[in-house]
Amino acid sequence: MIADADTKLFEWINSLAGRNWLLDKFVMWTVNDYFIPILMTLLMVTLWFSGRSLPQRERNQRVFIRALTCMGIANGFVKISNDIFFRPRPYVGHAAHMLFYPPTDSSFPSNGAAVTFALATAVFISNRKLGSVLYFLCLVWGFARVTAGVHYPFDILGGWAFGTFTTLFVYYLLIYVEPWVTFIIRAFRKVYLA
Amino acid sequence: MINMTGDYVLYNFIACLSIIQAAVGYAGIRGLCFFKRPIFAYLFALVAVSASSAWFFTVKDRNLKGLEGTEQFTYWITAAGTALIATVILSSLINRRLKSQNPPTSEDSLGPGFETLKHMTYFQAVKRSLQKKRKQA
Repeated sequence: MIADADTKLFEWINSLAGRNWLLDKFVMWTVNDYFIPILMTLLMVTLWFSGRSLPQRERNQRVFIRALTCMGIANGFVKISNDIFFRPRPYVGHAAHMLFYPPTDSSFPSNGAAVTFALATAVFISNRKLGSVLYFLCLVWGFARVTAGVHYPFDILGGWAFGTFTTLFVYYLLIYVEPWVTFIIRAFRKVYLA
Repeated sequence: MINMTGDYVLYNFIACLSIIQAAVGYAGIRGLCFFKRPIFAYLFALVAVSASSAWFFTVKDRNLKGLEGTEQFTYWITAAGTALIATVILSSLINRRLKSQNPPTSEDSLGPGFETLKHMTYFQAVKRSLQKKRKQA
């Protein structure tokens, strides 16, 4: 039932590919492994340096370290999940319209969606404005991945769920994580890099 | 693959270097700025990020199998680290007269980390820190 709905939704979104030149160009620009991830990392770099006062900057830097931690853990969770469960990509068994090279690893959950959503959620908890921008980029990337025939919609939703769960898990354990965050910031501050 | 790695590192290096300028310009960390006025730092970031993105995404098809996630992370760290080192060296050379132009009101008024770099360059801050340690010893 869920798989059917997922397939139908995939077929509908994927059918948008090849119809409109502009949409195809937009999808091909945003679907790759570089454009949106690099944009997100650049926004994270600004977070480390920005903040006009010391407390404001320290708050940003804490968010930066927590978000990177969440990203790393989300990546680990997805790798474990891929070892246990394998879902073939949509082009296997469906006549998918591909706008991207055909990957061979497990389709569910989307690693990119999990990692970027973990990052966006970690930022959103402390910085609504930047977090919203990152969420928007996650949405664009997710849409592009389905339209390009790389993922089923539920792979993306699963990735988002993994990412959110990871961040909430890290924040639940914040009392244990925070001394490390403080240690890292102090170490960087000692060498005038924080 | 070597070409892809080189392109990726170069793109990230330029993007990080310019985005750091915009951020330090906004935060008023003058010791790390290449420009006296923040508006020039923002313009530099806008032009450099746009130009490097246009180059990276149009010179070759990036929708082919390229770098794995772990490789991307490693190369990104390399590029960002190099951009930071370049920022420190270039800004220290460009702003070598900053300390005399913008002295702190007192030694105690200097905050930690980046706060110090609002009044002096990175090299000046390191030199001051080493001198302080030598005096204490």
